[in-house]
Amino acid sequence: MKRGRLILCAILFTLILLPSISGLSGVSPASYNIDFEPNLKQEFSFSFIFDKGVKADAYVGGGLSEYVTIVSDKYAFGRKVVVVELDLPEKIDVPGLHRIRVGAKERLSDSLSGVSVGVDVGGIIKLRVPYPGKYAELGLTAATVNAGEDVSYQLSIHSRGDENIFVEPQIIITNEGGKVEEFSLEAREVKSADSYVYDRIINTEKYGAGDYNITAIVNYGGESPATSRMLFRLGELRVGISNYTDTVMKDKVNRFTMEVESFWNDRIGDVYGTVSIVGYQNSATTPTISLKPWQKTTINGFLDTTGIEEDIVKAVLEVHYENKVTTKEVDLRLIKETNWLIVWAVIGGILIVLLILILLLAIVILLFRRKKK
Amino acid sequence: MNSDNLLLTVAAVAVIVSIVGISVTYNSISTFDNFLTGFATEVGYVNVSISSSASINITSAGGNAGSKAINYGAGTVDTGKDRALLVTNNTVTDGSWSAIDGGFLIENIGNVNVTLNVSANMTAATIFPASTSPQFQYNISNNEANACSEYWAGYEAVFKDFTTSASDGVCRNFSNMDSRDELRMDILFDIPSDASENSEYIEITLTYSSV
Repeated sequence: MKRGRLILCAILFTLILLPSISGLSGVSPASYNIDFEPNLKQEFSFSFIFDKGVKADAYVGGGLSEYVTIVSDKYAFGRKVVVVELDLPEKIDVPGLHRIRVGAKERLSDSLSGVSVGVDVGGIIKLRVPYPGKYAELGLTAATVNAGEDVSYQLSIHSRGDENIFVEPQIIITNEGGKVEEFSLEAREVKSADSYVYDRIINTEKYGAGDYNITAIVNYGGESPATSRMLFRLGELRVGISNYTDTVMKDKVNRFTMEVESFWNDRIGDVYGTVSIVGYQNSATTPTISLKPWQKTTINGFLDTTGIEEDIVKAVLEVHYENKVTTKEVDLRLIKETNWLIVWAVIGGILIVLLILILLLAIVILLFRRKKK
Repeated sequence: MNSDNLLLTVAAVAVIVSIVGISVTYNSISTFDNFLTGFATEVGYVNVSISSSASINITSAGGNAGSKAINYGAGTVDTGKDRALLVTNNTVTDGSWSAIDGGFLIENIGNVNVTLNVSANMTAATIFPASTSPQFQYNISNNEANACSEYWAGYEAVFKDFTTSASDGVCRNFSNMDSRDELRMDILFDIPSDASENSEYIEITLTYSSV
């Protein structure tokens, strides 16, 4: 009992002595997003984390840092909490996105030697100053689904100018064959520094499976329309064979690998592959696996090539899934395994014969010289 | 005799009350209604919000997990050689230092992608003053494929001189995805034979923030 306690104490003591994760650092939140407002006064709090015992110095940097002051900088519950106050002027001349950095630079320990690495982690205040006149930025997302299902997409329009905009979005769907569909969304006004999100669906009943591009073109009264493009996929219940072992050894059990790829946006269960040599009984079957949506993976079986004489044979690869089969006929190259024992034996034999010949030659020369004398 | 009958009657009543009680309780529990159970329903809501966090971890230095320092210790340029080359990829050429295999491994453990810059408190000229063309460089590369999806031009897996300011960018988009969130930073010293005796403590700073 005493021995058990001792072991437990030793383990606990060892765990206490183990070094903590030594280079950990971070800040939360990573950033704040705000839009410019004249004379805006607002506080922002950043919580920095470092390894236990590490000290760091807070600072403010980046463009527009002159409008930010540190109002509080203290350690609480193992974190360094820095509160800054943003005090904006009436007007900022440079439009666009400004990144104000509230940083904390690690003070490296004096006990370290050689080359040490420390961090300077920054929380960011992203301040958007409106562009003069009308200006629009777009965001576009579209979901990947199976063919025939509705595709949901979101077009977000951000008015980044100091004037309100009136937007007229146009949506164009294309694939590798060209334009598939084109339609308009209702026009509407988006106020300066405001955003609007069109959350819609596309009926894909008439679409085939494959890759599509959705492009949003938004006229908003600027010099040129704002555009954004996004790829989405429509899945079909199909598993393809994208790669396979094309060379195997003769008269041997070979690992045979097939790379299979799902083109379906849901899980496919009970997937397995087979390979059979045309004109022979030799074949192999892989274990059964499940494929995640759009997953590409390899499956392995063991193919015995005993009795196959040809150097190139036809092989049929099959992938079985959901009562369907994908078939591919390929050429399979068979090569003989090099028997290094025989190779080295031949080389060794030649060397020995050469040595004997040299020895005999030397004896003959010696005998010839003696006879001359 | 009368008392026996009374006792029997009380017992019978008790049994009947017990059976009725059991059946009512069973019925109430099985249907989970309000009758005689004290069961009440209220709708509760759980609200979870996740703050963004920019965070990295230096997981290894010089092949030592948990370390953040690389120390070559004392050494000399081999006699008759112009210079020695030390790189943290297990390279020591023409010098007596022990080789170190493994630079700094840097992992993005936050939930946002970050930008990463590199600087140091010293340059080659200040570490090896008055010597012939010394070099002190770093090389950042993906330890997991596509960990940095957007390098600054000319910085991917290329040795660059350390500078003392973090204005030089290295990676504009260091991913936080589990399968591709680790970078490697190798260090190079090119030490000329005319470098004077010196022992410097060098601080490298990784400057980062959310994209």
